[in-house]
Amino acid sequence: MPSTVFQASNPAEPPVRRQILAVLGNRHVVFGSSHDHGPVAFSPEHDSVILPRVPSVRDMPEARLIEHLKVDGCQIVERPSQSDNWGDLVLQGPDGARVLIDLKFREDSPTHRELDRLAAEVANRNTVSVPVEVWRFSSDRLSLMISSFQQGKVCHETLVPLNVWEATPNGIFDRAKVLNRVADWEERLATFFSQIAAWIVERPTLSVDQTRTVTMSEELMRNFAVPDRELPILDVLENGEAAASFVPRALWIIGADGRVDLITRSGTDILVYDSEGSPPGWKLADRNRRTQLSNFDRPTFFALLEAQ
Amino acid sequence: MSRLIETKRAFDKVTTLLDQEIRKKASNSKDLEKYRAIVEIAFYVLAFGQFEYLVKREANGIIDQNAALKTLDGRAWEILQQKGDVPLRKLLELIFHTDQKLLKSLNDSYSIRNDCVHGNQLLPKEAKDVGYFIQGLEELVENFDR
Repeated sequence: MPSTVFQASNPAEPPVRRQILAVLGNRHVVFGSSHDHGPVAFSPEHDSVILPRVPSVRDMPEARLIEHLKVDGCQIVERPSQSDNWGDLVLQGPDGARVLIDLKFREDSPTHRELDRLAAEVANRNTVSVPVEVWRFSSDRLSLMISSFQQGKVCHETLVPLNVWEATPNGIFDRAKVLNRVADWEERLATFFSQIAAWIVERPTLSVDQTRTVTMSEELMRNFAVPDRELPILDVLENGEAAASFVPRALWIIGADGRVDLITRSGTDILVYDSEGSPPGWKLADRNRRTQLSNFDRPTFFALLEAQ
Repeated sequence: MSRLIETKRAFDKVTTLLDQEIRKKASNSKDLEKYRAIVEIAFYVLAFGQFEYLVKREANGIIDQNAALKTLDGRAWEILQQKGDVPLRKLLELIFHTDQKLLKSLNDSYSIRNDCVHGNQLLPKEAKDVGYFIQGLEELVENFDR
């Protein structure tokens, strides 16, 4: 449980206290503080809007972002007409305090040069009567950086995704589903590697080693702000020498539910998890015809291991 | 035989070498996986570029052939011939219009190629099997008129 009591945000408070719901491309993202953010203020059940799909975040019109933006405890009101047209919206707190906000949308994290430019922009624009902020959304590694003027200087604060989901006419696909799939993948790999370890017990010259890892960072994980995972590589050693390695390559692949490459002295073979087989299990893809699958069992494994 | 075959062989060789490095524990496995991802992107883009060249050549052949006809249609083809520099998606349509599923898949591949080249993107899951992708392109160009 968080150690502090969360209060509805107010433009007069530091931006890091806020929770913000933004539609980025096809995703709904709730941004908030990485610690002590309290209960997530927006939910897929209550705050989803089903919108026409866009091919990518880059193709999303800014108007769509502005139209569906929500800030917990605050209202987004119409921007007053100005001579220089700076700013995209005005955020108004329950006490009527207002902040003029300019939205920026980028793919990458900001560079030092950009941070300097943002700081100068905020410092030049900010006045006591019209406080300003720049909200900079990053789509690759989801984040929202808010540049504001606080206690006489410009601060850049980064909000992280607290929840991410996609709403479609067929239902909600949320971050929890991605987390569950990743957990299930880790479990299936652990079971599979235990099975291999059990197979080689009968041969005293063979042993296994699971000290090496690969980083799992798949597109869907990045899209739903699921942190990278370290997955084990299973090395099979023969008299202490490397004989084969099972390397987890991908979970989300077309036509199967995960891929592990088996690298032996004779080459690389692709193993895929066939979740629709009866029973579900690991299958070996033919080296020349990838769609041709056969059971991956103990004799197959030893045949591949011994092939030169 | 197109260059795509050589590209496929090169891709298989390079990825096999990287895989063997992983097996032999010759280098850091995480680094090798990163290099593999870069190699996959490089070969995807290269193979699509080679395919693009062959598509343009094939499409121009079709346009030239039809423009040579002394008919009303021939005149329309002649206008297209004179226009030159037709976008790749239009050329793909010209060749593959009878197979809309394949055409869509090629258009998607072109978008992926563009995202990798101009958008600094990684390969999405549908493009991960690069060896298979190159082989598929090679099978398509085998049917081109040469």
